[in-house]
Amino acid sequence: MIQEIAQDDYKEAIAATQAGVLIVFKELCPHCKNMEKVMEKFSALLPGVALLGLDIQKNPDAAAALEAERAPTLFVIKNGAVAQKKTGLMNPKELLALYKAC
Amino acid sequence: MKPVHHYDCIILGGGPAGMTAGIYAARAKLKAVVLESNITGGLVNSTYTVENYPSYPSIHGMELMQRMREHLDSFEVPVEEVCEVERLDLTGVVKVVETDEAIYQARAVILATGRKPVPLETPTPCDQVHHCAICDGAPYAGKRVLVCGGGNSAFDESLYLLSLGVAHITLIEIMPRFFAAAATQESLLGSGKAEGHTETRVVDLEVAGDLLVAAILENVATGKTWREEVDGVFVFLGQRPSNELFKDQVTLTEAGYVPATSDMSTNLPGVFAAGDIVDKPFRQITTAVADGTVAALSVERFLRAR
Ligand SMILES: Cc1cc2nc3c(=O)[nH]c(=O)nc-3n(C[C@H](O)[C@H](O)[C@H](O)COP(=O)(O)OP(=O)(O)OC[C@H]3O[C@@H](n4cnc5c(N)ncnc54)[C@H](O)[C@@H]3O)c2cc1C
Repeated sequence: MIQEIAQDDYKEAIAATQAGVLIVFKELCPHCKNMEKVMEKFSALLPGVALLGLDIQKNPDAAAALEAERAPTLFVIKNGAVAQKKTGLMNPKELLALYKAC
Repeated sequence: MKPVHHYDCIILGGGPAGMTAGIYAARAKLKAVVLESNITGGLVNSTYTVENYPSYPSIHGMELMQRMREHLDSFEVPVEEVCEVERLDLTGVVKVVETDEAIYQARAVILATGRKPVPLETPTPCDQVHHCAICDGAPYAGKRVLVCGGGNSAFDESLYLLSLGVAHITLIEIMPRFFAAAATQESLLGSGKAEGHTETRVVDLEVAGDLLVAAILENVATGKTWREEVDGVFVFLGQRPSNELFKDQVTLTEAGYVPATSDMSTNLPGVFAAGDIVDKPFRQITTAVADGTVAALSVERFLRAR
């Protein structure tokens, strides 16, 4: 289940996340919906990783601060900070590899 | 060991054809499953407005597909999304589909894998090459883009890009004329923000660091090349049938489509086809939905006759 965060609380939410994946998404974007599904399958492969989502249209300043120009952009979060960023599509195994690599 | 699931009918592809087949299969009390490599919705998901689907004079493609999905879900037909089919055996009485997560067996299969966009082949790879204006258009507000293709999709999507605030569009078509509807051509080329070139192709892309800076274009009639400064490329060069999984098992036309009969059956007993993957003159949501209907009802007849 992806927990939606917003402009007001995104810094705190990232800082409070020990292990997580954040998707910067856009409504009515098929690639974003695909990546949300990929995140759910990824979390079945590696339970215990928090799944977060930030809507780029509702929260443009937060997205800009994260340097997420396009949706979907994914961030691996470790120990309360962004450890890796990747734009575009991945499958669950590729996301797992990206997550484990950092 | 992967779990093995038994069904009456496996539907490959969750576009309008596959989802409709799922609805009809459920209504016929068949145990069916939809296996989808992406998310359900297919090509319609990246269509900005659908204006020819009866009952919705104008609706966003993804919204229409969400409604179709809700209808399918109301019958509790299982749908596996983002699933990778690793093996498909259609030749036996029991058909076998092995995905990355499970093995599915059924006496009938409906092939509804549709088509996918023809990619732009250039020597230099580039992250700013896109196939979906809805998905990727927004960051190009105030910027210059190249649109490849001269059909309705290229012109419609270009108009959509202009509505997002794209500053300038260079649209190219390799053939001697554009094929889009005349009114759409007029709207785009009369906007003052777009220019069109026929008999033109992309030779290469120029990238600085990670960013596209220009496209090298060529007039194929004169051989003249020039450099067009652009920040992004949107490709609408048509579609190719998604037949990789079964091209060695099912008879296909030269162009790679399934020559299904009027009940949507293929050359293999128990294997049916529906939607854009079928060899037919018109590929629309309504025709995909019709094929899905016929394929599912034919599966019911096939299974009951055995
Ligand atoms: C840009 C554009 C605009 C269009 N606009 C309109 C319009 O306004 N009105 C209209 O009526 N029609 C329109 N069409 C046509 C319409 O989209 C198609 O006719 C329709 O989507 C066909 O449905 P389908 O289910 O056969 O195939 P698709 O929509 O292509 O769906 C096939 C599905 O199968 C999946 N798949 C593929 N391979 C596999 C595999 N190996 N395993 C599992 N799943 C797989 C795909 O991911 C996809 O979800 C448009 C097409 C395009 C390209």
